[in-house]
Amino acid sequence: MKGQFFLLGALLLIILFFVALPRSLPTLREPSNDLPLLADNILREYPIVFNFGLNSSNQISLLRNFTSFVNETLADRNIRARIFWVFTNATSGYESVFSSGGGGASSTDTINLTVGNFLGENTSFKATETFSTNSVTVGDNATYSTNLIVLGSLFNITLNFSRSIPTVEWVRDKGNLYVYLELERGGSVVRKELSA
Amino acid sequence: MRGFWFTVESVIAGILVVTFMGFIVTRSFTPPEDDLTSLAYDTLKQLDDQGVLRPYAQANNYSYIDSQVRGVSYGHAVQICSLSTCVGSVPNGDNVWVGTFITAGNNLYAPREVKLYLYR
Repeated sequence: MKGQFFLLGALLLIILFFVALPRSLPTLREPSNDLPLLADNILREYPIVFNFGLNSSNQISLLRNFTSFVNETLADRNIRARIFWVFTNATSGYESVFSSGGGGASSTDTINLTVGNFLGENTSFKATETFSTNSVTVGDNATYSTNLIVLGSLFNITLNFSRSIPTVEWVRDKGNLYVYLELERGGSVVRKELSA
Repeated sequence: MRGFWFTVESVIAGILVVTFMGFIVTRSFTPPEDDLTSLAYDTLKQLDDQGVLRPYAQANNYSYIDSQVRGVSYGHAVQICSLSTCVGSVPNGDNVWVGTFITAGNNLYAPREVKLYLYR
């Protein structure tokens, strides 16, 4: 009769295995392929925040606040966000320079450029435009503002920081925004940029 | 008589082994379940494109957003979170998927995280 008890034991173990299996499955599912969707979503919202700031003249604080919101929201889901943004505004200041060639006068405008570093580390930043270059080290969770002189209503500017070196074409007389976003969870990393 | 019981035992053991192996093989070749996270995100994005999501997220009106979720053949629930608080319900179940959509605000800055839960 020994064999029958072994069989009953085996049967019991298998039944327990089948009963316990569904309980071991996770109840809330969130695969890693949601990172690109989240990145697209967040990048689309930054220009909206920027415009809210334009209307209320507090772009820096709104962009900082939104960046904190994104960081804290994603941290709850084990997603690490690294964000870097740069924006310019035409200042009310206006200065004239004389062209070196023919004695005729042309005018340039001063634009205000602001950088926000939320990459989780200090980064060197260099903005190179035809007439001026500006280098600085921006601390983590810090912003930096400076004035640049630009000539012409359209200008190209190269933004050199630790993660990327984009060259963007911006319009002098309107607000311009560049955002770098990196989302990481486990081994998955998504990097996206936006210039608006 | 002893030989008869040995035969019965071996048949039962064979049935158990075949059943177990069949279960393992079936699980190995079962295609993965649909990714409902993408469906949840697309649904929220569609609502935003229609202008339905943003104003009601700003007003924390999760029930209205939930009522606008259509064409989804799963159970659904909506939750809206700001940094300080969440409103709405989280369903209990064995298969619950969540898609997230972040909004900066509608006519003023009011960031919200809208979560759409899909479940079977």
